[in-house]
Amino acid sequence: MDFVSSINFLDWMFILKGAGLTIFLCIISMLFGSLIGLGTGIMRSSRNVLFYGPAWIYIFVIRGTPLLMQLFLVYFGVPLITGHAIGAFATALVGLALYAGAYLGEIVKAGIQSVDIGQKEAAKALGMNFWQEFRHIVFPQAMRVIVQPAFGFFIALVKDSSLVSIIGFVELARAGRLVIARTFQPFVVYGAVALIYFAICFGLSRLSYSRIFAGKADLS
Amino acid sequence: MKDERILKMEKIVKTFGKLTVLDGVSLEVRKGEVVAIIGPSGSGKTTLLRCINGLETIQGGEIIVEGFRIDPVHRDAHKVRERIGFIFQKFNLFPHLTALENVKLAQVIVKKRPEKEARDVALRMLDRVGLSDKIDEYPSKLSGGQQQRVAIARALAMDPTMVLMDEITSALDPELVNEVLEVVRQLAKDGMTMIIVTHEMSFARDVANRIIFMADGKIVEEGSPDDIFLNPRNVRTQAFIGSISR
Amino acid sequence: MNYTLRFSQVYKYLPLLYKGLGLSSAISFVGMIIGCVLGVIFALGEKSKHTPLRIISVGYIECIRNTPLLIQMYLLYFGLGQFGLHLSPLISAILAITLNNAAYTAVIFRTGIDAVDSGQIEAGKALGMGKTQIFKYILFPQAFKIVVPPLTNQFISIFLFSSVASTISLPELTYQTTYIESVSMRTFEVFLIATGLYLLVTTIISIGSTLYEKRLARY
Repeated sequence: MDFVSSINFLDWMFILKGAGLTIFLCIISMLFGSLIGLGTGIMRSSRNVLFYGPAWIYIFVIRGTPLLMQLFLVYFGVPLITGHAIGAFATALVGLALYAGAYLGEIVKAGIQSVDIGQKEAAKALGMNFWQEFRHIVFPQAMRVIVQPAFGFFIALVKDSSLVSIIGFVELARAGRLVIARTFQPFVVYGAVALIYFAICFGLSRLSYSRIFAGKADLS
Repeated sequence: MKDERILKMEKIVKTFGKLTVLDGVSLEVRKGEVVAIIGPSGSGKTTLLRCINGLETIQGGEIIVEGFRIDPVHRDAHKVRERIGFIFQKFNLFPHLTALENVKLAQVIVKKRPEKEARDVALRMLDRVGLSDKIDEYPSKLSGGQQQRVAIARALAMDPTMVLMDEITSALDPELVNEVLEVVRQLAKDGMTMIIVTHEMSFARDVANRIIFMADGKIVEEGSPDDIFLNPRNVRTQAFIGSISR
Repeated sequence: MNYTLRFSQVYKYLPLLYKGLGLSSAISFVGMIIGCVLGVIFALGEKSKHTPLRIISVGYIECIRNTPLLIQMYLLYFGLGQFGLHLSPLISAILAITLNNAAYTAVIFRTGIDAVDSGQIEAGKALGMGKTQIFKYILFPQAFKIVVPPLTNQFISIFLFSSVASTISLPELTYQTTYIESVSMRTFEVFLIATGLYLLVTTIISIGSTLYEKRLARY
């Protein structure tokens, strides 16, 4: 233990900066992922094979393979396809957004299908076209069923984002690893990193309880 | 000749938090009696029934069954429950067991009866409620009336000294109510001691020796069916009987 | 894009991929079985009337569920090293997956038990059954049917996240994939095969579970 250095203030700041980057990355990925998920979910609910086919394949592949493999594939594959390397942040973002898109797509699809078919029939009977029916009738009702699992997924995404440390993006997990490389105190540092993840995730799940109640009040 | 008292409840008090649901209720039931409890919703009649076999704990008063004082917290409480049959409004049959298995299970694991004896008793009870042809069906394949009859057979198989019935026809479609009431009528003829909470007024008049009218957690009036239905003395009772006759 | 698929150059590495798949499957399977046993214990602990037991169970479940598996694995593999305790990659991986799984299955079991209609418990009580009898003959058979789908998802999840063990040098499927990629430079080919293998296993698990659920649904 003679070359263990103590962890100084700068190290903690570095770790906290990593935490901030984790949150930032997750929010941006979630935003893009939501857009992808929305489109995928709608396509997946369609009865037209041309729509639900590609959506089904996308969801099947992403949900059937490890996130780490997907991140490696983006990391190795994108430079090969586009000819030049993209930064660590962009790699992480693409990987996480595609990952989120598939899982959120499944949640959106379930939400859309949960809307009573009588609602859709009533909309059609009133002469609404597909987009009107979707925007005014299906989507608002589907959203109630989508919000809670989607938020739950976001919390999971925060944890899963730790994997982007492997492809070099310096977020919370990676920051910890770098500090350990200097100070050789893996237990203390990873323990602190775990505590920060805990604070974020536990805090978010507590938040979801009040959000749900707020959501329920909206319905009346 | 002294009549055996199966049940004695004295000054029962039951609260749910700040709400007092039973406010000093006293009741005695003798062997062979059929007592019907009627009253508006929220009067406490279902709660009273559930206190007798310990599904609810009481905050005041005494419950004595066959001379044996039962405290729900007492470890022997579940021994007493063996002697008291309870039929639920929602039937509560075990969905993963056939009708026959439903009636057999408690006999084997609670009364420790040998398999063969339990099976014989089960077959007899199911025959008694008219379901000999459905013994191997799962509850999901039975109508509400049939499920409730299996529930009655299940309770009878335990050789109870008293059977409690909590609005057993309220969850049934109208055309299925009679088959269940018929079974209860026959039980009364066979001399079973019963306490029945019910909305079925004509049935209560028909089958009960004694009617108890409850409101707001108290017993307002009790008497023979003719007393209560034709000549109610209390104003509350009169109002209730009046409202249901229309 | 200047890339032509040449699978022939990758075929000689297939045995390595199969070994990796075997290892991934093995640690997932062990983690699932032991994790489920622990999960039942923690689920019952969560509902226990004995307060210290309840606090430990809830505390454990919340800590594990709110931290990433990666960090949990690092704490075991690297973290314990700070105290001189050096676990092998295999032990660290199995331990991390098992402990992680226990917390998630505990919630699944707890939800499953709660989902059984309370009237069932009352019927058991009314018939004179004791607590253990009610659990064994009434709660457990009905809860079992309810938990099969979420447990299947959990198993698939563990299998996919076993890939995290590649970061602590365990030669499971993902590790082998990146290794072969680096020596053969055939990125897409090896990733396609590995992806196919992962998909194959997850599909088999899904189909198997669906068939089993159909069998359970006879009543």
